[in-house]
Amino acid sequence: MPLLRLGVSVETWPEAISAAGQLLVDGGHVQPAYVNEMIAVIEKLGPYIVLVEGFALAHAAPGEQVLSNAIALAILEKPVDFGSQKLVQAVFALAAKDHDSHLDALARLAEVLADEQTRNSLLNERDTAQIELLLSGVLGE
Amino acid sequence: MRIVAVCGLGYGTSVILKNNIEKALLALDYEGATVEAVGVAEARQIGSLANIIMTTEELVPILDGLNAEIIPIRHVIDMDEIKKALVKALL
Repeated sequence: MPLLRLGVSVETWPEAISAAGQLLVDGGHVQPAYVNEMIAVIEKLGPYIVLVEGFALAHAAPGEQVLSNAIALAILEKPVDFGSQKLVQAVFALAAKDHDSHLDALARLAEVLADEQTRNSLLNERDTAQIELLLSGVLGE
Repeated sequence: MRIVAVCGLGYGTSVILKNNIEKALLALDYEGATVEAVGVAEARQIGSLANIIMTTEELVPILDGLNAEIIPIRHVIDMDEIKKALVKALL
Protein backbone atom coordinates (compact mmCIF):
# COMPACT_ATOMS: atom_id res chain seq x y z
CA MET A 1 0.00 0.00 0.00
CA PRO A 2 1.63 3.30 -1.05
CA LEU A 3 2.32 5.75 1.74
CA LEU A 4 2.59 8.65 -0.67
CA ARG A 5 -0.12 10.57 -2.48
CA LEU A 6 0.38 13.56 -4.78
CA GLY A 7 -2.02 16.22 -6.01
CA VAL A 8 -4.36 15.95 -3.04
CA SER A 9 -7.16 18.48 -3.40
CA VAL A 10 -8.35 19.91 -0.06
CA GLU A 11 -9.50 23.28 1.24
CA THR A 12 -8.84 23.10 4.99
CA TRP A 13 -6.12 21.85 7.33
CA PRO A 14 -8.29 19.14 8.94
CA GLU A 15 -8.97 17.74 5.46
CA ALA A 16 -5.25 17.87 4.74
CA ILE A 17 -4.43 15.90 7.89
CA SER A 18 -7.23 13.44 7.13
CA ALA A 19 -5.78 12.82 3.67
CA ALA A 20 -2.33 12.06 5.11
CA GLY A 21 -3.77 10.03 7.98
CA GLN A 22 -5.92 7.99 5.60
CA LEU A 23 -2.73 6.70 3.97
CA LEU A 24 -1.76 5.25 7.36
CA VAL A 25 -5.25 3.74 7.76
CA ASP A 26 -5.20 2.23 4.26
CA GLY A 27 -1.78 0.76 4.93
CA GLY A 28 -3.06 -0.91 8.09
CA HIS A 29 -0.75 1.11 10.33
CA VAL A 30 -3.37 2.86 12.46
CA GLN A 31 -7.04 2.57 13.40
CA PRO A 32 -9.33 5.18 11.78
CA ALA A 33 -9.81 6.90 15.16
CA TYR A 34 -6.10 7.81 15.16
CA VAL A 35 -6.77 10.32 12.36
CA ASN A 36 -9.30 12.19 14.49
CA GLU A 37 -6.77 12.30 17.30
CA MET A 38 -4.22 13.84 14.95
CA ILE A 39 -6.67 16.65 14.22
CA ALA A 40 -7.61 17.06 17.89
CA VAL A 41 -3.96 17.70 18.83
CA ILE A 42 -3.82 20.72 16.51
CA GLU A 43 -7.21 21.99 17.65
CA LYS A 44 -5.92 21.92 21.21
CA LEU A 45 -2.35 23.18 20.79
CA GLY A 46 -2.20 25.11 17.51
CA PRO A 47 -0.10 24.58 14.37
CA TYR A 48 3.14 23.81 16.17
CA ILE A 49 3.60 20.82 13.85
CA VAL A 50 4.67 23.05 10.97
CA LEU A 51 8.37 22.18 10.79
CA VAL A 52 9.18 24.80 8.19
CA GLU A 53 7.13 26.85 5.73
CA GLY A 54 5.19 24.35 3.62
CA PHE A 55 5.81 21.20 5.66
CA ALA A 56 3.94 19.73 8.63
CA LEU A 57 4.43 16.57 10.69
CA ALA A 58 1.06 15.40 12.02
CA HIS A 59 0.63 12.62 14.54
CA ALA A 60 -1.19 11.59 17.70
CA ALA A 61 0.12 9.79 20.76
CA PRO A 62 1.23 6.15 20.63
CA GLY A 63 -1.38 3.76 21.96
CA GLU A 64 -3.83 1.08 20.92
CA GLN A 65 -4.72 3.04 17.79
CA VAL A 66 -1.23 2.48 16.39
CA LEU A 67 -0.76 -0.94 14.82
CA SER A 68 2.71 -0.47 13.36
CA ASN A 69 5.30 2.26 12.80
CA ALA A 70 5.06 4.22 9.57
CA ILE A 71 5.46 7.65 8.01
CA ALA A 72 3.17 8.70 5.15
CA LEU A 73 3.08 11.85 3.03
CA ALA A 74 0.26 13.70 1.30
CA ILE A 75 1.28 16.50 -1.05
CA LEU A 76 -1.50 18.99 -1.66
CA GLU A 77 -2.53 20.54 -4.96
CA LYS A 78 -2.26 23.95 -3.30
CA PRO A 79 -1.16 25.10 0.19
CA VAL A 80 -3.70 25.41 3.01
CA ASP A 81 -3.50 27.64 6.09
CA PHE A 82 -2.78 25.65 9.24
CA GLY A 83 -3.42 28.70 11.42
CA SER A 84 -1.07 31.53 12.44
CA GLN A 85 -0.72 32.10 8.69
CA LYS A 86 1.42 29.00 8.38
CA LEU A 87 0.86 27.61 4.91
CA VAL A 88 1.39 23.90 4.40
CA GLN A 89 1.54 21.95 1.17
CA ALA A 90 3.16 18.72 2.34
CA VAL A 91 1.67 16.83 5.28
CA PHE A 92 3.65 14.00 6.82
CA ALA A 93 1.67 11.61 9.02
CA LEU A 94 3.55 9.69 11.68
CA ALA A 95 2.45 6.54 13.44
CA ALA A 96 4.76 5.58 16.30
CA LYS A 97 4.28 2.60 18.57
CA ASP A 98 6.65 3.89 21.22
CA HIS A 99 9.15 6.61 22.01
CA ASP A 100 12.20 5.30 20.19
CA SER A 101 11.46 3.16 17.15
CA HIS A 102 10.89 6.06 14.75
CA LEU A 103 13.85 8.24 15.75
CA ASP A 104 16.09 7.40 12.80
CA ALA A 105 13.34 8.18 10.31
CA LEU A 106 12.65 11.54 11.98
CA ALA A 107 16.33 12.44 12.04
CA ARG A 108 16.53 11.65 8.34
CA LEU A 109 13.38 13.71 7.68
CA ALA A 110 14.92 16.70 9.46
CA GLU A 111 18.06 16.39 7.33
CA VAL A 112 16.06 16.23 4.11
CA LEU A 113 13.86 19.20 4.98
CA ALA A 114 16.81 21.33 6.10
CA ASP A 115 17.79 21.75 2.45
CA GLU A 116 15.72 24.41 0.66
CA GLN A 117 16.36 23.02 -2.80
CA THR A 118 15.13 19.60 -1.71
CA ARG A 119 12.02 21.18 -0.18
CA ASN A 120 11.23 22.87 -3.49
CA SER A 121 11.79 19.61 -5.35
CA LEU A 122 9.41 17.78 -3.03
CA LEU A 123 6.64 20.31 -3.62
CA ASN A 124 7.06 20.51 -7.39
CA GLU A 125 7.99 16.98 -8.38
CA ARG A 126 5.22 15.04 -10.15
CA ASP A 127 6.99 11.69 -10.24
CA THR A 128 6.30 9.60 -7.15
CA ALA A 129 9.47 7.56 -7.70
CA GLN A 130 11.58 10.73 -7.50
CA ILE A 131 9.90 11.80 -4.27
CA GLU A 132 10.39 8.36 -2.79
CA LEU A 133 14.05 8.63 -3.71
CA LEU A 134 14.40 12.02 -2.01
CA LEU A 135 12.69 10.60 1.07
CA SER A 136 14.42 7.24 1.26
CA GLY A 137 14.80 6.26 4.87
CA VAL A 138 11.81 8.42 5.82
CA LEU A 139 8.65 7.20 4.11
CA GLY A 140 7.52 3.69 4.85
CA GLU A 141 7.55 1.31 7.76
CA MET B 1 23.07 22.17 31.86
CA ARG B 2 19.73 20.52 31.20
CA ILE B 3 17.91 21.44 28.00
CA VAL B 4 14.38 20.28 27.33
CA ALA B 5 12.83 20.32 23.84
CA VAL B 6 9.07 20.53 24.05
CA CYS B 7 6.29 19.79 21.57
CA GLY B 8 2.67 18.77 21.98
CA LEU B 9 3.17 15.08 22.69
CA GLY B 10 6.93 14.56 22.80
CA TYR B 11 7.11 12.20 19.83
CA GLY B 12 7.49 14.25 16.67
CA THR B 13 8.45 17.90 16.53
CA SER B 14 10.39 17.87 19.79
CA VAL B 15 12.36 14.80 18.70
CA ILE B 16 13.51 16.68 15.60
CA LEU B 17 14.25 19.74 17.74
CA LYS B 18 16.26 17.63 20.21
CA ASN B 19 18.31 16.13 17.37
CA ASN B 20 19.10 19.57 16.04
CA ILE B 21 19.95 20.99 19.46
CA GLU B 22 22.42 18.13 19.96
CA LYS B 23 23.92 18.77 16.53
CA ALA B 24 24.21 22.50 17.29
CA LEU B 25 25.88 21.84 20.66
CA LEU B 26 28.38 19.59 18.92
CA ALA B 27 29.09 22.27 16.31
CA LEU B 28 29.55 24.84 19.09
CA ASP B 29 31.87 22.48 20.97
CA TYR B 30 29.66 22.81 24.03
CA GLU B 31 29.96 19.82 26.34
CA GLY B 32 28.11 18.86 29.48
CA ALA B 33 24.53 19.50 28.36
CA THR B 34 21.79 16.90 28.34
CA VAL B 35 18.89 17.26 25.92
CA GLU B 36 15.55 15.50 26.18
CA ALA B 37 12.31 15.61 24.16
CA VAL B 38 9.00 15.77 26.02
CA GLY B 39 5.37 16.73 25.48
CA VAL B 40 3.70 19.74 27.10
CA ALA B 41 2.13 17.72 29.94
CA GLU B 42 5.48 16.33 31.03
CA ALA B 43 7.13 19.70 30.45
CA ARG B 44 4.75 21.32 32.92
CA GLN B 45 5.93 18.78 35.50
CA ILE B 46 9.67 18.76 34.91
CA GLY B 47 10.18 22.09 33.15
CA SER B 48 11.28 23.95 36.26
CA LEU B 49 14.08 21.42 36.75
CA ALA B 50 15.54 22.39 33.38
CA ASN B 51 17.85 25.31 32.68
CA ILE B 52 16.58 25.92 29.19
CA ILE B 53 13.32 24.99 27.47
CA MET B 54 13.20 25.23 23.70
CA THR B 55 9.84 24.94 21.99
CA THR B 56 7.84 26.10 19.00
CA GLU B 57 6.29 29.56 19.24
CA GLU B 58 2.72 28.29 19.61
CA LEU B 59 3.49 26.37 22.79
CA VAL B 60 5.23 29.15 24.70
CA PRO B 61 2.04 30.41 26.44
CA ILE B 62 1.26 26.90 27.73
CA LEU B 63 4.66 26.76 29.44
CA ASP B 64 4.24 30.14 31.08
CA GLY B 65 5.29 30.25 34.72
CA LEU B 66 7.94 27.53 34.58
CA ASN B 67 11.20 28.38 36.25
CA ALA B 68 13.50 28.00 33.23
CA GLU B 69 14.62 30.14 30.34
CA ILE B 70 12.07 29.54 27.58
CA ILE B 71 13.36 29.98 24.04
CA PRO B 72 10.80 30.02 21.22
CA ILE B 73 11.93 28.46 17.95
CA ARG B 74 10.10 29.32 14.74
CA HIS B 75 11.33 26.43 12.63
CA VAL B 76 12.70 23.33 14.35
CA ILE B 77 14.64 22.25 11.27
CA ASP B 78 16.44 25.61 10.99
CA MET B 79 19.94 24.86 12.31
CA ASP B 80 21.02 28.50 12.08
CA GLU B 81 18.12 29.67 14.20
CA ILE B 82 18.81 26.98 16.82
CA LYS B 83 22.54 27.65 16.86
CA LYS B 84 22.03 31.38 17.30
CA ALA B 85 19.56 30.82 20.14
CA LEU B 86 22.00 28.49 21.92
CA VAL B 87 24.92 30.88 21.50
CA LYS B 88 22.85 33.63 23.07
CA ALA B 89 21.72 31.44 25.95
CA LEU B 90 24.92 29.52 26.70
CA LEU B 91 27.98 31.47 25.67
